[in-house]
Amino acid sequence: MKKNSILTVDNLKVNFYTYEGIVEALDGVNLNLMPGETLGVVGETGCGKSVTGLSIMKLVPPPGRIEDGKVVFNIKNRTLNVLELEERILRKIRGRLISMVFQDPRSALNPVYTVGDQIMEVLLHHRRKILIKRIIDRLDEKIKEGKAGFLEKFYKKMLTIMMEDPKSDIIELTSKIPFLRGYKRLLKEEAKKEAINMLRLMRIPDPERVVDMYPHELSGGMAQRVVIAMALACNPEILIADEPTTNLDVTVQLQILYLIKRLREEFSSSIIYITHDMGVIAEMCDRVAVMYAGNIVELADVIELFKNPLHPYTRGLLESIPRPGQPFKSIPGTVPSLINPPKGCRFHERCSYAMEICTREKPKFIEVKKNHFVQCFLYQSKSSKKTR
Amino acid sequence: MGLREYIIRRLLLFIPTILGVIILIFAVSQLFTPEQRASLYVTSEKQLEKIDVIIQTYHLNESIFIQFKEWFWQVLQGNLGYSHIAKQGVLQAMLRKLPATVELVMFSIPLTIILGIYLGVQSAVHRDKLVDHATRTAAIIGWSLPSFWLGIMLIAIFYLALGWFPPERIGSEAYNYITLSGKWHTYTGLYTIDGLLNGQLWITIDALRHLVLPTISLTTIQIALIVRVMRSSMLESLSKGYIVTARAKGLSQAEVINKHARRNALIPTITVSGLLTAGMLTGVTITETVFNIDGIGRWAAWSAGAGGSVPDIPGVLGFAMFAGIVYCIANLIVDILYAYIDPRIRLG
Amino acid sequence: MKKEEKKEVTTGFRYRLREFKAGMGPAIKELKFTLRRIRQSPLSIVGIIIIAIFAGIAILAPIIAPPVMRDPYRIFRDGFGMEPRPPGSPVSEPIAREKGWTVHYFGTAQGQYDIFYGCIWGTRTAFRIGVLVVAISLIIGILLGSVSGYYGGIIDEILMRFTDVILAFPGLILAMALVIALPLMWEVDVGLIFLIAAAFLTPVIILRVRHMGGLGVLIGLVAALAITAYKFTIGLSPIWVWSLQLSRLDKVLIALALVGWPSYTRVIRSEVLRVKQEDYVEAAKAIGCSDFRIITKHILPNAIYSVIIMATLDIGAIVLTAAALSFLGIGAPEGYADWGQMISYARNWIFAGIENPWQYWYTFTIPGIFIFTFVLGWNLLGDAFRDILDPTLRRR
Repeated sequence: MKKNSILTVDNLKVNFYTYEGIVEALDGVNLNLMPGETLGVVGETGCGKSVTGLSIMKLVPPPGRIEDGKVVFNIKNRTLNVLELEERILRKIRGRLISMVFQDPRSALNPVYTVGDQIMEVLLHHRRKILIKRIIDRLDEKIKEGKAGFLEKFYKKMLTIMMEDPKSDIIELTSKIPFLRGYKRLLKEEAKKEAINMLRLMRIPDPERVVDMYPHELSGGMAQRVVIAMALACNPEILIADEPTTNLDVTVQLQILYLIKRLREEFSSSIIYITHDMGVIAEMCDRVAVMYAGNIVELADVIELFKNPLHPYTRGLLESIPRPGQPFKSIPGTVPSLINPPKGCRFHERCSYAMEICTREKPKFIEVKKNHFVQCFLYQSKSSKKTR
Repeated sequence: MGLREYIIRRLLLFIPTILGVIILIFAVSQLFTPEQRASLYVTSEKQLEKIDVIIQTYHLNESIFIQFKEWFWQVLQGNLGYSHIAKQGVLQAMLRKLPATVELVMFSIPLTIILGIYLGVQSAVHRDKLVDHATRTAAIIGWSLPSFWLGIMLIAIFYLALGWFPPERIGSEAYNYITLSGKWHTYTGLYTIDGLLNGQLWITIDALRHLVLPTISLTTIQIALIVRVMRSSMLESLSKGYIVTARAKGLSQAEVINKHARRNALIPTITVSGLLTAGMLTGVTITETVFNIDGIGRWAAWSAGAGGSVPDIPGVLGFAMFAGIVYCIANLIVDILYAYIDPRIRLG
Repeated sequence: MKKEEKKEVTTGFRYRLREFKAGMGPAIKELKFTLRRIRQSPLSIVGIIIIAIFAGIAILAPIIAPPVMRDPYRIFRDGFGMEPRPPGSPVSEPIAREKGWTVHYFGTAQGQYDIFYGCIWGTRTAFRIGVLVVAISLIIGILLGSVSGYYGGIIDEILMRFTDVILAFPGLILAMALVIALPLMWEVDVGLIFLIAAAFLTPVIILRVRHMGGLGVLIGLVAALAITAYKFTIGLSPIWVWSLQLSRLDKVLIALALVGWPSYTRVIRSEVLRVKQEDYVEAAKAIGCSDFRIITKHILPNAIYSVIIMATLDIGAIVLTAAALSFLGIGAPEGYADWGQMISYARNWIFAGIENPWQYWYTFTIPGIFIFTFVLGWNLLGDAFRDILDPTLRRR
């Protein structure tokens, strides 16, 4: 286990208990994320990329269940296994330390609330104290200059109480009385300012107007920027981007990719970028994990992977990228059903290098070269390094 | 577009529908003979003695268009005919009997909606568990009960056998006080509220006691409607993407359900509430008859010939028109509420 | 020597049978899946059993409860006494005894009508009313709804306004007014009806051949309306008049059907509108399918699910409404085998026997249980259908 990685996924197993049988979606996934880097996770549809992303935040919906494994989050010199934390603490982490950007911005946004409301929601949930502090500082200024009226002094008092104990009785009481509850309005306005700021950072034109619009009034690209704004609002350490550009037009895709690149510098988050597009991987990522049928089959630096793909599946993927003037090459066969997955290595039915042992046992995930991991019997004997 | 423009557009649609209601009532009235229709044009019993004169004056034997003109003019003046059951003009009868019905409905509707929404949400959130099965079973049983039978059974059990909750609107002691003592001021016509306003709390309590069984009767049957819709729309709402987003933002399960899922789930429920009004109008007819409450419903049932009375044609037609208009208004309100909650509707 | 070529058989009965079975393959698989889901939902099984029991009662009515009067739907009376007699009381009326009645199993109602007989034959009445009304509403609804939804335009607008107006009334209330208004004796000008029908269908059929079905319907409607208007304003001499005598129950049937068809029309119409957008309808048009074929083969099978659910639930609702009408006294006449009718007199006897209010329990409890269980069966089935037939929820 890398000591300085910010996130480590260790032998993650997830099953889905469906009507038609038990779907073994994740079969021991291994990943790690270093601070500041962008890790790509690439694979075909249905290989389990999204489930991995959701599992990291312990958000796998029923009928799914996390059966085994660890998700270790290494922050501020503390290590937390996300899967073992209780819900109360998880709620502090989600949206604040780890955030997610989803594939379809339309369905990710709630149609009955404005875009601003939804960004403000995450701000008010996690950043309440900071926002209140800002208002109090401003009110303090006004009081010092002698420009503050009775109401504003009262608000400051209320906000100070609210900062300490948002559920105190005084707060409950005054929030019901029309005049006195103005301080809540101040809080909302402050949050809204921050939301507008986020929209501006997302390079959305005219953010003051957009903040009051509803999701269905926005184009796909704009909506996706809003979702990214929501995810980055609290400056998380880790951002999980689950195919954020797949549902968008190609030209819009490019814009969003550039945006994410720029935001990477501005926000200094570490990113897990999930996609099925090798081109995006090449453009965006420092390291990449290749996923097939619920397993990570290869993990390496981007350039190393493209120069030197080790796993037969990775080779197949790279060869199948269409090149002008060359005939189409594809990997024969189809992705196996995960209800009754093939024994041994899950790729062996389609692999041109398959050996007898591949049908019986599952290969281990080992470091074959420096920082280049593979899960394949072709390299098993060559390994002299320890397994992860 | 905005809410205001939507409301205006909707109102414009409202007017032709009301006109359609009136025309349909007229069409139904044409199925009667001229002699039967005569009472639609008079305002007192005595005038009915000269039926031939009436037929002459209002051209009851002539073409449809002339008749419609005559009848419509009467309606606009507020003359909906004479109800021999109520011994009054139809409009006057309805106005006089309205408070009793309103009192009954003003408890039933909110109870049905609030309880229905709550049970529907619980049912969806705890899908396939005991709460879910129990609620759905109770709802389906309620929906299958004949309303008159439920009323009779409730009276037989809770009044005749146990003596807890009496039928009718008010006890004889309270009734005497209201009508005879001279100390009673009628503010709203609703015994529950007037009791408070007159400072006679015991009358309010008595009225409430009498309201328990009819309210239960109405609510039990109608609640299935709300529970079913709320449950299924809640289930759909919970499977949507924005729920995952909300949880990824760090919201608790309760916040997710109450803030995000429920608001979306309310949308079809609001639509169904319109149907609820129809159910109440129908239910009130039967319930008032069974519980012997002097409201619009019982008057309508008697006008139709319940209990062997001679059919009171202006009564039936008047009540049908009333019901139609009330239902249209309810649908109007529902549509506006719907646009208020779902921005996709008003913004096109 | 000539080599006999082995030709693949592409004609003949065997081939067609094979093709048919192959084509039905997916449909049969879906059916099996539906049946499996039904079997797994205990409530739907309960519903089916209830309905089956009632169907059995209805079919076997003449055996279980041998008719005594000439019209089997008239409950026989054992005397003319007012007071109901409890279950187990002996039958004394000679004609009834002849037919095999010895004891009143469920007792008698006011006027000495045998409750058992009323409940058994009432099952037939309930099926008759429920199924007939729903069937009529369904047929009208499918016809009008699919035409309206598929062709759109003015036809659609007019029809929607019309249904709007009828739907502006709560069902029971409009039905009440209609039951009273409908006369028992009808003079129907059948000739006129044929004329109107001919005026409507001729343009439809002619223009359909040239793929202008919508226009044909429009012209047909205009023609039909023109004739109707002509008849009512200027006056046409009667062509061929029939006299129709309606019974009170027939009036209830007609009233309920008149009130019921708009809901079905709207539902089918909105489903047709939805399915019309689907790509396979585009594809069918592109290969030259006629409108009729598109509607019947492609659109209706996909639009029909909601309506099936609605119809199943509606049978229960119709029976309840009819029972309410009978209870109020404007439905089935006195002595008719109808559950609601039997309860209408029971009310007097509950409030009369204050000493022991349950003394005459059998007069209202037993018929009430019949109504409740019958409606419950259909509601359970309808609910189960809703869960099973919704294509989006099918494979959870």
